[in-house]
Amino acid sequence: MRDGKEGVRVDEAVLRRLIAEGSKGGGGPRGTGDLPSESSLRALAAALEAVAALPGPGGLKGEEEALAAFRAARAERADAPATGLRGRLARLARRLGGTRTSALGVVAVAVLGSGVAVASGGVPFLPGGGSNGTSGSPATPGTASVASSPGSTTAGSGASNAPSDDTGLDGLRPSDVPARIVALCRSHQRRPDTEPQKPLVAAAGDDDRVDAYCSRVLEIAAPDQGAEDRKGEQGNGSQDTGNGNQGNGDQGNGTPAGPAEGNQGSGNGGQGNDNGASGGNGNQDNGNQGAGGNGRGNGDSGRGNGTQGSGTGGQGNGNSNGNGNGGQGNGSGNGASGDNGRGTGGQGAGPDAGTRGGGTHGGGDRP
Amino acid sequence: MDAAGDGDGVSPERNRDLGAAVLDAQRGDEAAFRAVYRRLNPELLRYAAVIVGQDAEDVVAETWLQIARDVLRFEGDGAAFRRFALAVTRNRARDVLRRRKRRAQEITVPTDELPEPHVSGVPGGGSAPDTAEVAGAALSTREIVSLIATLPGSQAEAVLLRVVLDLDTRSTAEILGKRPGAVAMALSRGLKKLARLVERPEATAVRR
Repeated sequence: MRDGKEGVRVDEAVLRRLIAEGSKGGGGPRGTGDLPSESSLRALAAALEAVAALPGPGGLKGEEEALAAFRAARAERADAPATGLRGRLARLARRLGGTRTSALGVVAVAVLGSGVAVASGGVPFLPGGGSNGTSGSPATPGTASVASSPGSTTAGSGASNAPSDDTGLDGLRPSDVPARIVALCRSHQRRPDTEPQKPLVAAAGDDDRVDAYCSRVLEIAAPDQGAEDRKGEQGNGSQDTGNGNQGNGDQGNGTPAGPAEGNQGSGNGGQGNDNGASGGNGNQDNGNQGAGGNGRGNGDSGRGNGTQGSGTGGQGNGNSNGNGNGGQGNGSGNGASGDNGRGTGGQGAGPDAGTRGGGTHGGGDRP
Repeated sequence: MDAAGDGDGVSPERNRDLGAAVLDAQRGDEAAFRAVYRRLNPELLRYAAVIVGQDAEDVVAETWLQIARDVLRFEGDGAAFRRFALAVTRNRARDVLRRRKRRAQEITVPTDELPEPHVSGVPGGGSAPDTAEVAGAALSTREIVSLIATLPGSQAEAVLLRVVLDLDTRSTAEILGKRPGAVAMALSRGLKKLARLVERPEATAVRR
Protein backbone atom coordinates (compact mmCIF):
# COMPACT_ATOMS: atom_id res chain seq x y z
CA MET A 1 0.00 0.00 0.00
CA ARG A 2 2.90 2.28 0.29
CA ASP A 3 3.61 4.15 -2.79
CA GLY A 4 5.94 6.73 -1.43
CA LYS A 5 3.50 9.53 -1.98
CA GLU A 6 1.40 9.01 1.05
CA GLY A 7 3.41 11.40 3.05
CA VAL A 8 2.29 14.38 1.07
CA ARG A 9 -0.21 16.73 2.56
CA VAL A 10 -3.82 16.68 1.70
CA ASP A 11 -4.74 18.33 -1.53
CA GLU A 12 -7.33 18.01 -4.16
CA ALA A 13 -5.33 15.52 -6.20
CA VAL A 14 -4.77 13.30 -3.21
CA LEU A 15 -8.44 13.22 -2.45
CA ARG A 16 -9.25 12.46 -6.01
CA ARG A 17 -6.81 9.60 -6.04
CA LEU A 18 -8.09 8.21 -2.77
CA ILE A 19 -11.64 8.34 -3.99
CA ALA A 20 -10.70 6.65 -7.23
CA GLU A 21 -8.77 3.90 -5.45
CA GLY A 22 -11.67 3.01 -3.28
CA SER A 23 -14.08 3.13 -6.15
CA LYS A 24 -12.00 0.75 -8.17
CA GLY A 25 -11.98 -1.61 -5.28
CA GLY A 26 -15.73 -1.46 -5.12
CA GLY A 27 -15.96 -2.64 -8.68
CA GLY A 28 -17.06 -1.20 -11.97
CA PRO A 29 -19.85 1.22 -12.34
CA ARG A 30 -19.29 3.56 -9.50
CA GLY A 31 -16.44 5.91 -10.11
CA THR A 32 -16.02 8.95 -12.16
CA GLY A 33 -19.70 9.42 -12.57
CA ASP A 34 -20.37 10.50 -9.03
CA LEU A 35 -17.07 12.16 -8.39
CA PRO A 36 -17.51 15.33 -6.39
CA SER A 37 -16.95 18.64 -8.01
CA GLU A 38 -13.59 20.22 -8.29
CA SER A 39 -14.43 23.05 -5.96
CA SER A 40 -15.86 20.84 -3.27
CA LEU A 41 -12.77 18.69 -3.32
CA ARG A 42 -10.63 21.77 -3.00
CA ALA A 43 -12.64 22.99 -0.07
CA LEU A 44 -12.54 19.63 1.59
CA ALA A 45 -8.83 19.32 1.07
CA ALA A 46 -8.28 22.71 2.63
CA ALA A 47 -10.41 21.89 5.60
CA LEU A 48 -8.82 18.51 6.17
CA GLU A 49 -5.41 19.98 5.73
CA ALA A 50 -6.14 22.61 8.33
CA VAL A 51 -7.36 20.05 10.80
CA ALA A 52 -4.38 17.84 10.21
CA ALA A 53 -1.92 20.63 10.73
CA LEU A 54 -3.37 21.84 13.94
CA PRO A 55 -1.56 21.57 17.15
CA GLY A 56 -4.17 19.77 19.09
CA PRO A 57 -5.61 20.77 22.35
CA GLY A 58 -3.42 19.84 25.20
CA GLY A 59 -5.36 19.66 28.38
CA LEU A 60 -2.98 20.03 31.26
CA LYS A 61 -5.24 18.06 33.51
CA GLY A 62 -5.15 15.06 31.22
CA GLU A 63 -1.41 15.29 31.00
CA GLU A 64 -0.95 15.23 34.73
CA GLU A 65 -3.34 12.35 35.10
CA ALA A 66 -1.49 10.40 32.47
CA LEU A 67 1.79 11.09 34.19
CA ALA A 68 0.40 10.01 37.51
CA ALA A 69 -0.71 6.78 35.91
CA PHE A 70 2.72 6.38 34.44
CA ARG A 71 4.38 6.88 37.80
CA ALA A 72 2.05 4.37 39.37
CA ALA A 73 2.77 1.80 36.70
CA ARG A 74 6.47 2.42 37.11
CA ALA A 75 6.31 1.94 40.82
CA GLU A 76 4.24 -1.16 40.40
CA ARG A 77 6.78 -2.61 38.08
CA ALA A 78 9.55 -1.84 40.51
CA ASP A 79 7.68 -3.61 43.27
CA ALA A 80 6.52 -6.51 41.24
CA PRO A 81 8.38 -9.72 41.71
CA ALA A 82 10.54 -10.71 38.87
CA THR A 83 8.81 -12.86 36.39
CA GLY A 84 10.19 -15.63 34.36
CA LEU A 85 12.53 -18.36 35.32
CA ARG A 86 14.75 -16.21 37.42
CA GLY A 87 11.90 -14.93 39.47
CA ARG A 88 10.57 -18.37 39.93
CA LEU A 89 13.89 -19.67 41.07
CA ALA A 90 14.29 -16.78 43.42
CA ARG A 91 10.94 -17.49 44.96
CA LEU A 92 11.72 -21.14 45.21
CA ALA A 93 14.99 -20.34 46.88
CA ARG A 94 13.21 -18.13 49.36
CA ARG A 95 10.84 -20.90 50.12
CA LEU A 96 13.53 -23.44 50.51
CA GLY A 97 15.30 -21.24 52.95
CA GLY A 98 12.13 -20.39 54.68
CA THR A 99 9.50 -21.95 56.72
CA ARG A 100 8.31 -24.64 54.46
CA THR A 101 11.40 -26.65 54.08
CA SER A 102 10.26 -29.40 56.28
CA ALA A 103 7.01 -29.54 54.46
CA LEU A 104 8.96 -30.12 51.32
CA GLY A 105 10.76 -32.86 53.09
CA VAL A 106 7.52 -34.51 53.96
CA VAL A 107 6.40 -34.19 50.43
CA ALA A 108 9.56 -35.85 49.36
CA VAL A 109 8.97 -38.68 51.74
CA ALA A 110 5.47 -39.18 50.56
CA VAL A 111 6.25 -38.89 46.93
CA LEU A 112 9.19 -41.18 47.20
CA GLY A 113 7.35 -43.44 49.50
CA SER A 114 7.46 -46.33 47.15
CA GLY A 115 10.96 -46.96 48.19
CA VAL A 116 12.96 -44.96 45.81
CA ALA A 117 16.20 -44.22 47.44
CA VAL A 118 17.19 -40.66 47.69
CA ALA A 119 20.71 -39.71 47.04
CA SER A 120 22.57 -39.27 50.24
CA GLY A 121 23.46 -35.80 49.27
CA GLY A 122 19.84 -34.77 49.36
CA VAL A 123 18.41 -31.88 51.21
CA PRO A 124 18.71 -32.44 54.89
CA PHE A 125 15.46 -32.64 56.60
CA LEU A 126 16.23 -30.16 59.26
CA PRO A 127 17.88 -27.09 57.99
CA GLY A 128 19.75 -25.14 60.56
CA GLY A 129 18.23 -26.73 63.58
CA GLY A 130 15.79 -24.50 65.35
CA SER A 131 16.28 -21.43 63.32
CA ASN A 132 12.88 -21.78 61.87
CA GLY A 133 10.45 -21.14 64.57
CA THR A 134 7.40 -21.19 62.43
CA SER A 135 5.04 -23.75 61.30
CA GLY A 136 7.25 -25.89 59.23
CA SER A 137 9.92 -26.26 61.75
CA PRO A 138 10.16 -29.50 63.53
CA ALA A 139 12.48 -28.19 66.15
CA THR A 140 10.78 -28.67 69.41
CA PRO A 141 11.98 -27.98 72.85
CA GLY A 142 12.36 -30.90 75.12
CA THR A 143 13.93 -33.19 72.69
CA ALA A 144 13.37 -36.71 73.66
CA SER A 145 16.45 -38.75 73.60
CA VAL A 146 14.93 -41.96 72.69
CA ALA A 147 17.42 -44.66 72.74
CA SER A 148 18.89 -44.86 69.41
CA SER A 149 21.75 -47.18 69.85
CA PRO A 150 21.49 -50.69 68.66
CA GLY A 151 20.17 -53.14 71.10
CA SER A 152 18.30 -50.82 73.28
CA THR A 153 14.67 -51.28 73.79
CA THR A 154 12.36 -48.77 72.41
CA ALA A 155 9.43 -47.09 73.87
CA GLY A 156 6.11 -47.57 72.29
CA SER A 157 5.64 -43.96 71.74
CA GLY A 158 6.69 -42.48 68.55
CA ALA A 159 5.55 -39.08 69.45
CA SER A 160 8.78 -37.71 70.65
CA ASN A 161 10.00 -34.91 68.59
CA ALA A 162 13.62 -34.76 67.97
CA PRO A 163 15.69 -32.82 65.64
CA SER A 164 18.23 -34.71 63.74
CA ASP A 165 20.85 -35.08 66.31
CA ASP A 166 22.53 -37.84 64.55
CA THR A 167 23.41 -40.47 66.97
CA GLY A 168 23.47 -44.10 66.40
CA LEU A 169 22.21 -44.40 62.89
CA ASP A 170 24.18 -41.63 61.46
CA GLY A 171 22.87 -39.68 58.64
CA LEU A 172 19.47 -41.19 58.66
CA ARG A 173 17.11 -38.75 57.08
CA PRO A 174 13.43 -38.92 56.59
CA SER A 175 14.04 -38.67 52.93
CA ASP A 176 15.89 -41.92 53.22
CA VAL A 177 12.96 -43.62 54.76
CA PRO A 178 10.13 -44.75 52.60
CA ALA A 179 6.72 -44.32 54.03
CA ARG A 180 6.24 -48.03 53.97
CA ILE A 181 9.16 -48.50 56.25
CA VAL A 182 7.73 -45.97 58.63
CA ALA A 183 4.50 -47.87 58.64
CA LEU A 184 6.28 -51.14 59.20
CA CYS A 185 8.15 -49.64 62.08
CA ARG A 186 4.98 -48.53 63.70
CA SER A 187 3.52 -51.89 63.25
CA HIS A 188 6.63 -53.48 64.62
CA GLN A 189 6.68 -51.29 67.66
CA ARG A 190 3.16 -52.13 68.49
CA ARG A 191 4.00 -55.79 68.36
CA PRO A 192 7.64 -55.94 69.20
CA ASP A 193 7.52 -59.62 69.88
CA THR A 194 6.65 -60.57 66.40
CA GLU A 195 9.12 -61.16 63.69
CA PRO A 196 9.93 -57.93 61.90
CA GLN A 197 9.02 -57.86 58.31
CA LYS A 198 11.68 -58.53 55.80
CA PRO A 199 11.78 -55.11 54.23
CA LEU A 200 12.23 -53.67 57.65
CA VAL A 201 15.07 -55.95 58.40
CA ALA A 202 16.60 -55.11 55.13
CA ALA A 203 16.25 -51.43 55.81
CA ALA A 204 17.69 -51.71 59.28
CA GLY A 205 20.46 -53.88 57.99
CA ASP A 206 20.13 -56.51 60.59
CA ASP A 207 17.52 -58.26 62.63
CA ASP A 208 18.97 -56.93 65.84
CA ARG A 209 19.00 -53.43 64.68
CA VAL A 210 15.36 -53.20 63.76
CA ASP A 211 14.27 -51.79 67.07
CA ALA A 212 16.85 -49.11 67.13
CA TYR A 213 16.31 -48.36 63.54
CA CYS A 214 12.61 -48.03 64.03
CA SER A 215 12.88 -45.79 66.99
CA ARG A 216 15.15 -43.58 65.02
CA VAL A 217 12.83 -43.63 62.06
CA LEU A 218 9.84 -42.75 64.11
CA GLU A 219 11.79 -40.14 65.90
CA ILE A 220 12.47 -38.25 62.75
CA ALA A 221 9.12 -38.90 61.26
CA ALA A 222 7.38 -37.53 64.27
CA PRO A 223 8.23 -33.87 64.04
CA ASP A 224 5.68 -33.39 61.36
CA GLN A 225 3.09 -33.92 63.89
CA GLY A 226 4.41 -31.01 65.76
CA ALA A 227 4.15 -28.98 62.68
CA GLU A 228 0.63 -30.01 62.28
CA ASP A 229 -0.24 -29.11 65.78
CA ARG A 230 1.20 -25.73 65.41
CA LYS A 231 -0.83 -25.25 62.37
CA GLY A 232 -3.85 -25.88 64.45
CA GLU A 233 -5.10 -28.39 62.05
CA GLN A 234 -6.76 -31.50 63.03
CA GLY A 235 -4.90 -34.23 64.57
CA ASN A 236 -4.93 -34.74 68.24
CA GLY A 237 -1.40 -35.63 68.59
CA SER A 238 -1.84 -39.06 69.91
CA GLN A 239 0.98 -41.26 69.15
CA ASP A 240 1.50 -42.46 65.72
CA THR A 241 -1.07 -40.24 64.36
CA GLY A 242 -0.67 -38.53 61.17
CA ASN A 243 1.60 -35.86 60.21
CA GLY A 244 0.35 -33.05 58.23
CA ASN A 245 2.25 -30.33 56.77
CA GLN A 246 1.66 -27.31 54.94
CA GLY A 247 1.81 -27.62 51.26
CA ASN A 248 3.76 -25.44 49.08
CA GLY A 249 2.25 -23.26 46.52
CA ASP A 250 4.42 -21.96 43.89
CA GLN A 251 3.42 -18.73 42.49
CA GLY A 252 2.38 -18.68 38.96
CA ASN A 253 4.22 -16.65 36.56
CA GLY A 254 2.81 -14.49 33.96
CA THR A 255 4.93 -13.85 31.04
CA PRO A 256 4.85 -10.29 29.97
CA ALA A 257 4.37 -9.57 26.40
CA GLY A 258 4.49 -6.45 24.45
CA PRO A 259 1.28 -4.58 24.56
CA ALA A 260 0.99 -5.04 20.89
CA GLU A 261 0.78 -8.67 21.49
CA GLY A 262 -0.77 -9.07 24.81
CA ASN A 263 -0.78 -7.85 28.25
CA GLN A 264 0.80 -9.58 31.01
CA GLY A 265 -0.99 -12.51 32.32
CA SER A 266 -0.66 -13.08 35.93
CA GLY A 267 -1.19 -16.28 37.65
CA ASN A 268 -1.29 -16.81 41.27
CA GLY A 269 -0.31 -20.21 42.19
CA GLY A 270 -2.27 -21.74 44.83
CA GLN A 271 -1.30 -22.95 48.10
CA GLY A 272 -1.56 -26.51 48.82
CA ASN A 273 -2.89 -27.23 52.18
CA ASP A 274 -2.72 -30.52 53.65
CA ASN A 275 -4.37 -31.84 56.60
CA GLY A 276 -2.28 -34.59 57.77
CA ALA A 277 -3.67 -37.83 58.73
CA SER A 278 -6.07 -37.04 61.31
CA GLY A 279 -5.72 -38.18 64.78
CA GLY A 280 -9.25 -37.16 65.23
CA ASN A 281 -10.31 -40.60 66.03
CA GLY A 282 -7.38 -41.23 68.19
CA ASN A 283 -6.68 -44.50 66.62
CA GLN A 284 -3.14 -45.55 66.90
CA ASP A 285 -3.15 -47.01 63.49
CA ASN A 286 -4.09 -43.88 61.94
CA GLY A 287 -2.16 -42.15 59.52
CA ASN A 288 1.23 -42.00 58.27
CA GLN A 289 2.28 -38.92 56.72
CA GLY A 290 0.09 -36.51 55.00
CA ALA A 291 2.04 -34.89 52.42
CA GLY A 292 1.57 -31.30 51.70
CA GLY A 293 0.12 -30.42 48.44
CA ASN A 294 2.14 -28.63 45.98
CA GLY A 295 0.13 -25.85 44.59
CA ARG A 296 1.39 -24.47 41.44
CA GLY A 297 -0.17 -21.93 39.25
CA ASN A 298 0.94 -20.80 35.95
CA GLY A 299 -0.65 -17.80 34.52
CA ASP A 300 0.29 -17.56 30.97
CA SER A 301 0.27 -14.33 29.31
CA GLY A 302 -2.47 -13.22 27.18
CA ARG A 303 -0.72 -12.97 23.94
CA GLY A 304 -1.68 -12.13 20.50
CA ASN A 305 -5.24 -13.06 20.21
CA GLY A 306 -5.53 -13.25 23.88
CA THR A 307 -4.79 -16.74 24.80
CA GLN A 308 -5.53 -18.26 28.02
CA GLY A 309 -4.04 -17.49 31.25
CA SER A 310 -4.03 -20.72 33.00
CA GLY A 311 -3.30 -21.60 36.47
CA THR A 312 -3.22 -25.07 37.63
CA GLY A 313 -3.82 -25.93 41.14
CA GLY A 314 -1.52 -28.10 42.97
CA GLN A 315 -1.64 -31.63 43.88
CA GLY A 316 -1.91 -32.85 47.28
CA ASN A 317 -0.40 -36.16 47.99
CA GLY A 318 -1.17 -37.79 51.13
CA ASN A 319 -0.54 -41.23 52.32
CA SER A 320 -2.90 -42.86 54.59
CA ASN A 321 -5.25 -40.36 55.98
CA GLY A 322 -3.50 -37.38 54.70
CA ASN A 323 -5.78 -35.03 53.03
CA GLY A 324 -4.14 -33.04 50.38
CA ASN A 325 -5.91 -30.01 49.37
CA GLY A 326 -4.81 -28.84 46.07
CA GLY A 327 -4.30 -25.23 45.98
CA GLN A 328 -5.98 -22.64 44.16
CA GLY A 329 -4.62 -21.45 40.93
CA ASN A 330 -5.48 -18.08 39.82
CA GLY A 331 -4.57 -17.14 36.37
CA SER A 332 -5.51 -13.99 34.83
CA GLY A 333 -4.52 -13.08 31.42
CA ASN A 334 -5.06 -9.80 29.86
CA GLY A 335 -5.06 -10.27 26.23
CA ALA A 336 -4.06 -6.93 25.03
CA SER A 337 -4.60 -7.72 21.51
CA GLY A 338 -7.76 -7.24 19.77
CA ASP A 339 -11.14 -6.90 21.16
CA ASN A 340 -11.16 -10.57 21.48
CA GLY A 341 -8.34 -10.64 23.92
CA ARG A 342 -9.29 -12.92 26.63
CA GLY A 343 -7.44 -14.28 29.50
CA THR A 344 -9.19 -17.00 31.19
CA GLY A 345 -8.71 -17.99 34.67
CA GLY A 346 -6.73 -20.88 35.67
CA GLN A 347 -8.02 -23.82 37.43
CA GLY A 348 -6.89 -25.11 40.62
CA ALA A 349 -7.24 -28.77 41.02
CA GLY A 350 -6.39 -30.79 43.93
CA PRO A 351 -7.18 -34.35 44.55
CA ASP A 352 -9.40 -33.62 47.41
CA ALA A 353 -10.46 -30.13 47.30
CA GLY A 354 -9.15 -28.12 44.48
CA THR A 355 -10.80 -24.87 44.03
CA ARG A 356 -11.16 -23.09 40.85
CA GLY A 357 -9.09 -20.12 40.28
CA GLY A 358 -10.76 -17.09 39.03
CA GLY A 359 -9.52 -15.40 36.01
CA THR A 360 -10.25 -12.10 34.62
CA HIS A 361 -11.02 -11.33 31.14
CA GLY A 362 -8.85 -8.91 29.48
CA GLY A 363 -9.99 -6.76 26.74
CA GLY A 364 -7.24 -5.81 24.51
CA ASP A 365 -6.13 -3.55 21.88
CA ARG A 366 -4.58 -4.57 18.74
CA PRO A 367 -2.71 -1.81 17.10
CA MET B 1 3.21 0.69 7.54
CA ASP B 2 6.68 -0.43 7.96
CA ALA B 3 9.14 -0.60 10.74
CA ALA B 4 10.97 2.48 9.64
CA GLY B 5 7.85 4.46 10.21
CA ASP B 6 8.10 6.39 7.02
CA GLY B 7 4.89 5.13 5.56
CA ASP B 8 2.40 6.77 7.82
CA GLY B 9 2.78 10.22 6.51
CA VAL B 10 4.40 11.51 9.63
CA SER B 11 7.95 12.41 9.03
CA PRO B 12 10.38 9.65 9.92
CA GLU B 13 12.11 12.00 12.29
CA ARG B 14 8.97 12.47 14.30
CA ASN B 15 8.42 8.78 14.57
CA ARG B 16 12.00 8.23 15.48
CA ASP B 17 11.63 10.85 18.16
CA LEU B 18 8.54 9.10 19.36
CA GLY B 19 10.32 5.77 19.39
CA ALA B 20 13.18 7.23 21.37
CA ALA B 21 10.80 8.83 23.81
CA VAL B 22 9.02 5.52 24.27
CA LEU B 23 12.30 3.82 25.00
CA ASP B 24 13.24 6.46 27.52
CA ALA B 25 9.84 6.22 29.13
CA GLN B 26 10.33 2.51 29.46
CA ARG B 27 13.40 3.24 31.47
CA GLY B 28 11.27 5.30 33.75
CA ASP B 29 11.91 8.72 32.32
CA GLU B 30 8.94 10.88 33.16
CA ALA B 31 9.87 13.69 30.84
CA ALA B 32 10.02 11.20 28.01
CA PHE B 33 6.54 9.99 28.82
CA ARG B 34 5.37 13.56 28.85
CA ALA B 35 6.85 14.00 25.42
CA VAL B 36 5.02 10.91 24.21
CA TYR B 37 1.83 12.33 25.62
CA ARG B 38 2.24 15.67 23.95
CA ARG B 39 3.14 14.11 20.69
CA LEU B 40 0.16 11.78 20.51
CA ASN B 41 -2.57 13.36 22.56
CA PRO B 42 -3.86 15.75 19.89
CA GLU B 43 -4.45 13.06 17.35
CA LEU B 44 -5.89 10.68 19.88
CA LEU B 45 -8.37 13.38 20.80
CA ARG B 46 -9.31 13.93 17.19
CA TYR B 47 -9.70 10.29 16.55
CA ALA B 48 -11.82 9.80 19.64
CA ALA B 49 -13.92 12.82 18.71
CA VAL B 50 -14.73 11.30 15.37
CA ILE B 51 -15.91 8.13 17.04
CA VAL B 52 -17.59 9.31 20.20
CA GLY B 53 -17.98 13.03 19.83
CA GLN B 54 -18.30 14.83 23.09
CA ASP B 55 -16.87 12.03 25.19
CA ALA B 56 -13.57 12.21 23.42
CA GLU B 57 -11.73 13.61 26.39
CA ASP B 58 -12.94 10.88 28.68
CA VAL B 59 -12.01 8.28 26.14
CA VAL B 60 -8.55 9.67 25.72
CA ALA B 61 -8.07 9.90 29.47
CA GLU B 62 -8.87 6.22 29.73
CA THR B 63 -6.61 5.56 26.82
CA TRP B 64 -3.70 7.19 28.58
CA LEU B 65 -4.27 5.21 31.71
CA GLN B 66 -3.81 2.10 29.67
CA ILE B 67 -0.89 3.44 27.71
CA ALA B 68 0.85 4.47 30.90
CA ARG B 69 0.81 0.88 31.99
CA ASP B 70 1.52 -0.73 28.68
CA VAL B 71 4.29 1.54 27.55
CA LEU B 72 6.59 -0.20 29.95
CA ARG B 73 6.22 -3.46 28.10
CA PHE B 74 5.83 -2.16 24.63
CA GLU B 75 8.06 -3.57 21.98
CA GLY B 76 8.28 -1.77 18.73
CA ASP B 77 9.25 1.47 17.12
CA GLY B 78 7.65 4.86 17.25
CA ALA B 79 5.32 4.27 14.34
CA ALA B 80 4.15 1.03 15.89
CA PHE B 81 3.57 2.79 19.16
CA ARG B 82 1.48 5.40 17.42
CA ARG B 83 -0.64 2.70 15.86
CA PHE B 84 -0.95 1.03 19.19
CA ALA B 85 -2.05 4.24 20.89
CA LEU B 86 -4.64 4.85 18.19
CA ALA B 87 -5.89 1.31 18.51
CA VAL B 88 -6.26 1.70 22.26
CA THR B 89 -8.16 4.90 21.65
CA ARG B 90 -10.42 3.13 19.24
CA ASN B 91 -11.20 0.34 21.63
CA ARG B 92 -11.89 2.67 24.51
CA ALA B 93 -14.07 4.77 22.26
CA ARG B 94 -15.97 1.72 21.17
CA ASP B 95 -16.45 0.81 24.78
CA VAL B 96 -18.14 4.13 25.21
CA LEU B 97 -20.23 3.55 22.15
CA ARG B 98 -21.34 0.24 23.47
CA ARG B 99 -22.17 1.81 26.75
CA ARG B 100 -24.21 4.49 25.17
CA LYS B 101 -25.74 2.25 22.61
CA ARG B 102 -26.08 5.22 20.46
CA ARG B 103 -24.58 5.88 17.18
CA ALA B 104 -21.53 8.07 16.97
CA GLN B 105 -22.93 10.34 14.36
CA GLU B 106 -25.69 11.48 16.65
CA ILE B 107 -23.17 12.90 18.99
CA THR B 108 -21.70 16.31 18.68
CA VAL B 109 -18.03 16.89 18.88
CA PRO B 110 -16.48 18.60 21.88
CA THR B 111 -16.22 21.69 19.83
CA ASP B 112 -14.94 23.91 22.58
CA GLU B 113 -11.91 21.75 22.98
CA LEU B 114 -10.66 22.07 19.48
CA PRO B 115 -8.83 25.25 18.71
CA GLU B 116 -9.52 27.17 15.60
CA PRO B 117 -7.21 26.54 12.72
CA HIS B 118 -4.26 28.83 12.45
CA VAL B 119 -4.40 29.03 8.77
CA SER B 120 -1.29 31.08 8.40
CA GLY B 121 0.66 28.44 10.28
CA VAL B 122 -0.35 25.61 8.03
CA PRO B 123 2.69 24.29 6.22
CA GLY B 124 2.12 24.52 2.53
CA GLY B 125 -1.36 25.64 3.22
CA GLY B 126 -1.12 29.09 1.77
CA SER B 127 -3.95 28.42 -0.56
CA ALA B 128 -6.22 27.04 2.12
CA PRO B 129 -8.21 30.18 2.87
CA ASP B 130 -8.68 30.88 -0.77
CA THR B 131 -10.07 27.53 -1.64
CA ALA B 132 -12.29 27.57 1.35
CA GLU B 133 -13.63 30.91 0.34
CA VAL B 134 -14.11 29.71 -3.16
CA ALA B 135 -16.31 26.98 -1.85
CA GLY B 136 -18.09 29.43 0.33
CA ALA B 137 -17.40 27.24 3.30
CA ALA B 138 -14.96 28.58 5.79
CA LEU B 139 -15.22 25.54 7.95
CA SER B 140 -13.62 25.61 11.30
CA THR B 141 -11.66 22.71 12.66
CA ARG B 142 -14.40 21.65 14.92
CA GLU B 143 -16.88 21.83 12.14
CA ILE B 144 -14.74 19.64 9.99
CA VAL B 145 -14.27 17.12 12.75
CA SER B 146 -17.97 17.03 13.43
CA LEU B 147 -18.56 16.83 9.74
CA ILE B 148 -16.38 13.76 9.56
CA ALA B 149 -18.18 12.38 12.55
CA THR B 150 -21.44 12.50 10.66
CA LEU B 151 -20.15 9.80 8.34
CA PRO B 152 -20.91 6.19 9.07
CA GLY B 153 -18.40 4.77 11.52
CA SER B 154 -15.91 3.07 9.32
CA GLN B 155 -15.92 5.87 6.78
CA ALA B 156 -15.36 8.49 9.41
CA GLU B 157 -12.52 6.56 10.95
CA ALA B 158 -10.95 5.86 7.60
CA VAL B 159 -11.02 9.52 6.65
CA LEU B 160 -9.58 10.62 9.93
CA LEU B 161 -6.82 8.06 10.12
CA ARG B 162 -5.94 7.98 6.48
CA VAL B 163 -6.28 11.64 5.57
CA VAL B 164 -6.23 13.77 8.68
CA LEU B 165 -3.69 11.75 10.61
CA ASP B 166 -2.03 10.70 7.39
CA LEU B 167 -1.51 7.08 8.16
CA ASP B 168 -1.04 4.85 5.19
CA THR B 169 -3.72 2.45 4.13
CA ARG B 170 -2.09 -0.55 5.70
CA SER B 171 -1.74 1.09 9.09
CA THR B 172 -5.29 2.32 8.89
CA ALA B 173 -6.48 -1.14 8.01
CA GLU B 174 -4.53 -2.57 10.89
CA ILE B 175 -6.06 -0.20 13.39
CA LEU B 176 -9.54 -0.70 12.05
CA GLY B 177 -9.14 -4.43 11.79
CA LYS B 178 -10.19 -4.41 8.17
CA ARG B 179 -8.63 -5.39 4.93
CA PRO B 180 -6.89 -2.58 3.03
CA GLY B 181 -9.38 -2.90 0.22
CA ALA B 182 -12.25 -2.33 2.58
CA VAL B 183 -10.50 0.68 4.03
CA ALA B 184 -9.96 2.16 0.60
CA MET B 185 -13.59 1.72 -0.22
CA ALA B 186 -14.81 3.25 3.01
CA LEU B 187 -12.41 6.10 2.51
CA SER B 188 -13.59 6.73 -1.01
CA ARG B 189 -17.20 6.84 0.00
CA GLY B 190 -16.50 8.95 2.99
CA LEU B 191 -14.56 11.49 1.03
CA LYS B 192 -17.24 11.75 -1.60
CA LYS B 193 -19.87 12.38 1.01
CA LEU B 194 -17.70 14.89 2.75
CA ALA B 195 -17.05 16.76 -0.44
CA ARG B 196 -20.75 17.09 -1.00
CA LEU B 197 -21.30 18.22 2.53
CA VAL B 198 -18.61 20.82 2.18
CA GLU B 199 -20.32 22.07 -0.88
CA ARG B 200 -23.48 22.53 1.11
CA PRO B 201 -22.28 23.09 4.66
CA GLU B 202 -25.74 24.07 5.81
CA ALA B 203 -26.60 20.41 5.53
CA THR B 204 -24.26 19.66 8.35
CA ALA B 205 -25.89 22.11 10.68
CA VAL B 206 -29.02 20.04 10.61
CA ARG B 207 -27.21 16.89 11.45
CA ARG B 208 -25.31 18.39 14.26
